[in-house]
Amino acid sequence: MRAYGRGDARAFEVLYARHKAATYRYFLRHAGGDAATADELHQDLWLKVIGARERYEALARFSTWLYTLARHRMVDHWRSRHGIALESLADEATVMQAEESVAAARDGNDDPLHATIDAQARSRVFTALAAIPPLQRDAFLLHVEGGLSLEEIAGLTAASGETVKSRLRYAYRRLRAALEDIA
Amino acid sequence: MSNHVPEGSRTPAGDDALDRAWQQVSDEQPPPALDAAIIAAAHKSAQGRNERAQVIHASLPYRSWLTRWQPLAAAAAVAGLAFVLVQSLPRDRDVAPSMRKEEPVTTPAAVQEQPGIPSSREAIKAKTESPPAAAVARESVTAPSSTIDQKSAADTATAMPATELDQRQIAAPEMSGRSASEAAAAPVPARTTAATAARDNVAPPGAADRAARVTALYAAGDVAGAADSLREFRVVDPGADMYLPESLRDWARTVQ
Repeated sequence: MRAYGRGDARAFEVLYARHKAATYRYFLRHAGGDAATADELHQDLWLKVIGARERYEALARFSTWLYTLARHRMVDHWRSRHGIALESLADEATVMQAEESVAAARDGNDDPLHATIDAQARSRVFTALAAIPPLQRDAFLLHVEGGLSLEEIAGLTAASGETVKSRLRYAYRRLRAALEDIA
Repeated sequence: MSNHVPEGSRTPAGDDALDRAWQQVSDEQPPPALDAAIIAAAHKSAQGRNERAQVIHASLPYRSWLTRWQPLAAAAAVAGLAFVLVQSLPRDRDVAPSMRKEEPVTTPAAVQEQPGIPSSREAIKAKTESPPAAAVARESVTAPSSTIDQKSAADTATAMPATELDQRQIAAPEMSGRSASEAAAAPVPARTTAATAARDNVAPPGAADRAARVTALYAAGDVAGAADSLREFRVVDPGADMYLPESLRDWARTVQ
């Protein structure tokens, strides 16, 4: 990122190739598989990275900084689209509201992968993921897609390590249950 | 390319089987068009930065040029201003010619170097003792002084040789029965200002030129020509020797 900040566009290409799939999937999962939303958020994120290249300071891992931006963009999206703040999704009512929003977005998704045989398992996993509370899903996606450690997720989400750990445990349990059903 | 968590970095909350299953199902990539747009934006931004850097780099020599030449330009400006000021100041030749030409006359030493000529005070004294001369002087009152104050005017008058005083009809006002200094010290309407005094005491026309010509001929080695020129000068102005530089006066006394 520092090389790109000095004007080396090739450095950005390397950086983008390394992280683009994970950030795209981070948005795609949060959007319940809505590719258009994921495209928009993904583009916004990387344009923000491009715009911040000269201000970037390597205070932490690049991926930590990148997913901080991604999460902020995701929260903004939730707030603008559904009037929901990600931090307020712990209570049951808001969880239901969020799941309905995700389900609505999922219903409009015509990804051709859904038509394949494996699409059933894929759909069940993603459905299970969409069913879990957003904060737990966010912790899970930051962990499995972003590759962030518990401490990094805790710092990024302003939560304690134990809280992040319990969120991850809950997400894993829900997803494991969905996969066992398939098995 | 994926950022999926490596196997070795599983947390206690993790599940290896689930992670593997997740990696199998979660393999979406952003559309190539989106990738291209983002890469293009990155290139454009980097190019803009490079262009800005080039602009800054290109402007540096200009700034360094300014830094390099600024002291010289300032020095040249000061020198030009000083030249203009010097040119605008009144020059020596702009001063009334009489004020310069009379200087040798006012030098007592110059008078003392001419033993054949009576001292000016003696001449004035003789004049004061000679009523006809005083009368002539009264008839043509001309301020003899080229200097500003009255005392200087009196000194100048006394410095003039007696013969010259006679011939040029130079006399101080109120000469009859009084000394020249006393006369000069007395208030005289004709000499109220320095400018008036300078105007009234104008050297004979061409005297300086003639003296300069004699000096130039003598300096060029044409002693005979210088002598002839001096004789001609004496015909026009018997006090011609007084206009010569001191260095030529010894020689001038030898010219008959």
